[in-house]
Amino acid sequence: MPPVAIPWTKLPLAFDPVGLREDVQAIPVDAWVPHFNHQDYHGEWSGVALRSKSGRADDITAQGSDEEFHNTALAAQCSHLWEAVEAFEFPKRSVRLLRLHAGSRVREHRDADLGLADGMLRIHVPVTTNEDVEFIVANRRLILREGEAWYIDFSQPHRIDNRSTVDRTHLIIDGTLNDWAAALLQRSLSEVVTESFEPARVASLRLFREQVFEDAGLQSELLEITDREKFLDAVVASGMERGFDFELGEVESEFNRRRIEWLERSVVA
Amino acid sequence: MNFSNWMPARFACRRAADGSVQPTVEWTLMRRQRLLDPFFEETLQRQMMHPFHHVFRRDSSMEEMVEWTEKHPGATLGGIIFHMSRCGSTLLCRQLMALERNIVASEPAPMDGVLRAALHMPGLPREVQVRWLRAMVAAIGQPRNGEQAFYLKTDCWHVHQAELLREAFPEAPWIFLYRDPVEVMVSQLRMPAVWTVPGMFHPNTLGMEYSDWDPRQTDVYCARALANICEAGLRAAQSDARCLLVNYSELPEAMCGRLLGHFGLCEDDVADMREAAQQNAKTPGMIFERDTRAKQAEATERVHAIVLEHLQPVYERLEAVRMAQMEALAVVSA
Repeated sequence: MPPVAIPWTKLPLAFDPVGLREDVQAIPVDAWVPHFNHQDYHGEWSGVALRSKSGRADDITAQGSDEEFHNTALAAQCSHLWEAVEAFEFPKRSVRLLRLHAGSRVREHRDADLGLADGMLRIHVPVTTNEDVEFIVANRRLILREGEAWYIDFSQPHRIDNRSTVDRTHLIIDGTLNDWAAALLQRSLSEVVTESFEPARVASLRLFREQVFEDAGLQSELLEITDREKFLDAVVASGMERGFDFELGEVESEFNRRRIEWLERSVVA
Repeated sequence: MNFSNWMPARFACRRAADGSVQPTVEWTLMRRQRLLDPFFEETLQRQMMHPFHHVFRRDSSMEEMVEWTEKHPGATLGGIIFHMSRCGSTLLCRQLMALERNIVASEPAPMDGVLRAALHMPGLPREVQVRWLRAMVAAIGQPRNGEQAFYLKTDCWHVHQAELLREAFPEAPWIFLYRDPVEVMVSQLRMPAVWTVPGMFHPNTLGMEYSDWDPRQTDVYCARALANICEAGLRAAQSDARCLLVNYSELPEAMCGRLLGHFGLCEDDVADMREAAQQNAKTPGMIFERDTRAKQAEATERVHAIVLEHLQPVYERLEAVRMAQMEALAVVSA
C-alpha cells in the first residue's frame, strides 16, 4: 500500500490528445449538463458521464460509497476516451468529462471522502487545456498538459481559474484503490518528477504580507475593518494601490487556510 | 525581521514537501496589548476573531526566533509557577498582572509546543530544546509596554520537565502550588480537564501509560496523574533551593508575604495585589471566595478513598517540606 498522504503526482501513462479531443468534439452540445455544485463556481462548468450510478450520461454526481456504477451510452461512442479509462486497471466508479468554460473559475474548496485513506482515488486526464488555465492545489500551481495522467489528493484546498479563451476539459476517473493502483502510485513517486510552482499571484500576496508585517501604519488601517468581506476586499485594494496583483481568491485562500489551521490547532495533542 | 510587536501564537511542526519536519513559530500582531485574560489562549482567541490575524499571521523558523531573541532578550524571567491544577494559580497570576510592570502568561500554548516538541521530533537534542525554550520565553516576554518582569504559569504537566526548565533558566525563582487533593479531585470530577482523558492527551506527558486507563475508573486515572504531578513538584522543591512550595490555603496573602521577595516584588506592590485578589480570578467581576468548605462538602466517600490511596501520602510530604521551608525562612528573618 502507498502512503496515504500523496499530495499529487503525475503518472507514468500518456494518451494521444488528438484522439481524446476528437471524441469530446463528437459529443452533442446539448448532452452537457451544468455542474451540481453551484456555489463553488463563477461562469460555466458542465459535464457528461461515461459511467455513472444511474447509467445516464447526464448524471454527473460522483459521491457516495459502495453504489454500483454503469457505463453510459457515451462510453461506447468515445472509443479513445474509453481506451484511456481502461488503461487504469482498478475498479471504476464514476467516469466523467468536466468542462470549465473559457473565462470561468471554480472557487477554492476541498472534496472530502474520496481519498486513499477511504480506499478511493481520482485520476485526471486533461483533454483540452492550455497555459492560461490556473490549477492551484494547496497553493501550488500544477501544470497538467493534454494527454497526461495525474493523481491529485482533492481533500486539499484547490481552485481553478480558466483565464483563457478556450474551454478546459478533463477526463476524470474515480476508482477503488487496489494493488495495481497502489503499485502505480508507488512507481510514480519513485520514477516521475512532478513539478509544482508558486503561482504568480500567490507570490504577490506573500510579498505584500511581508510589507504589512513591517508597516505599522498599514497594520492600523487594516485592523480598523472588522467585517470579514470588507476586510478581504480592503486587502486586495491596498495591495493594488501598492502595485501588487493578487486577487480576492488568493486572500480568501490564505484566510481560509490559516483559519482552519487555527481552529484545528488543538486537535493534535 | 522585527518581531517586537508580535507574539508567538503557536509552535507547529510543519511537514515539508520532502517529508522533513520543520519546527515553525506562528506569530500574531500584538502591538501594545497586554495579556490580561485568565489564560493566554483567551487573549489569542479573541484576537483571532479579527480576519487580520488570520491573513497576517507570520511564520518564522525556530532558528530565526532564536537569532532575533538573542538580540532582544525581553523582560527578566521573574518567576515560574508550577501547579497541580485547580489550586488557585489563576488567582495568583491575577495578582501579578495587577502590576503594570509585569507580563504574565498563563499556560501559553506555544510554550507547551516547545516543551513537547520531542514528541514530534524524536531525538531532538536537549541543548536545542533549551535554546528554543529560552527563545520562546524571550519572545512571549517582550516588553511591549515597557514591562520589566515576565512571569510564566506553566500547564500543570510541565513540572515533569522541571530539570529541563532549570537548565534553560538557572536563575529563575519557582513555586509549586498545590491544594488539598480532595478539593482538587472534586473540581476535576465536576469539570474534567482535557488531560484527564488519554485519547485526547498523551499519557506519557503525565508519567502515565495507556494501560493505566480504565473507563470504569476515570477518577483513579486522574488521581494518579495528579499524584505524579505532586511528586514532581516535591522533587523540584527538595532538589532546588529556588523552588518554594505554596498551599492554596495560603492564598491570596502568600503573594504579599513570603512570595514577595521570592518573586522580586516589594512592599509598594502589596496594595495593588490585595485589591486584585478581591476579584474571582476566572470570572472577573465575581468576588474571590475560598470554596474549601463547598468542595469538601461535595466530596463523596469514593473521592475520599481514592485520595487516601493515591494522593494523601504525597500531599503530606509536600506539607512537611513546605513547613520546613517556612521555618527556615522564619529563622532567616529572625
